[in-house]
Amino acid sequence: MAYKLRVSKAGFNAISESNLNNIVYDSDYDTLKYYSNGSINLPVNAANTETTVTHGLGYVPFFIVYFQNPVFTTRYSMTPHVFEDVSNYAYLSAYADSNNIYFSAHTNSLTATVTFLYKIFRNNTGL
Amino acid sequence: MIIFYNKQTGNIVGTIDGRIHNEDHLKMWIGEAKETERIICNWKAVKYFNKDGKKVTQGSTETPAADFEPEHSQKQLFIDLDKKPSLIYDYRVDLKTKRLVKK
Repeated sequence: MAYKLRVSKAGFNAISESNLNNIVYDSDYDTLKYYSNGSINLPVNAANTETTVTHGLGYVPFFIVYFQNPVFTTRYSMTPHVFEDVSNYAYLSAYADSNNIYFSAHTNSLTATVTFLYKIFRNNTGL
Repeated sequence: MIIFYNKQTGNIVGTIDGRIHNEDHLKMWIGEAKETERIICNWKAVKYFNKDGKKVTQGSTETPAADFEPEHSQKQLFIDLDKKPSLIYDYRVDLKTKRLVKK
C-alpha cells in the first residue's frame, strides 16, 4: 500500500478534497526545494560586465534573481530588467548553466554597483 | 553566512546567506576563484531545550530545540547581519586581520 502526505487549507477535507487550489501540499506533486540564497555586488562602469555564483549542482537549476534599483534603493525588481532612454541603456539579467548562475549587466552608460539577490532551488529544469 | 571578498582590495563581492552551511554550500563559489577568497561563519548550538521548553544539557536525549550563536570573533556583527544581510556591503575585509571593518 502506498502512502502520501496531503495538507489542506483550513476548512477543507484533506482526504476528499478534489480541487488542488484548496490543497497546500500534496506529495504526488513536486515542490520547490531550497538550495541556497544570497547576494552579489556587481560594479558596473558604463560597459558590459558579468560575475558568477558557482552552484555546482551539475544541472541547470530553477532560480530567481532580483536586483536592487541603484537609484531608488528601496525598490527590488526581478531580472531581466531594462533601463532605456533615447541614447542610454542598461540590461540586467541572470542566466544559468550546469555549474554557474551568471549575473550580467549590458550597458553603454550605467555607472553604479548593482546588488543582485538570488535564490537557487534544487529542482532540475531539465534544460 | 559565507562572505566572498576580493583578495586584492577586501571589497565584498557576494554572500551565501544562512546560519548552517553544509557541504553543498561549501562547494559553491562567488566570482573568479583566483580573485576572491571567503570567510565562513557557521552558527553553533549554545543552549538546548526539551519539548517542554526546559533547558537541558548537550547530549541529552530530549533536545528538539536549541538556541544558536555565530561561531566567530565578531559575533555581534554576524547577529546583525543575520537580521539584515544587506548590511554586509557597508563593510570590507581587512586583508591583514581578515576581520570585517566599516568602509
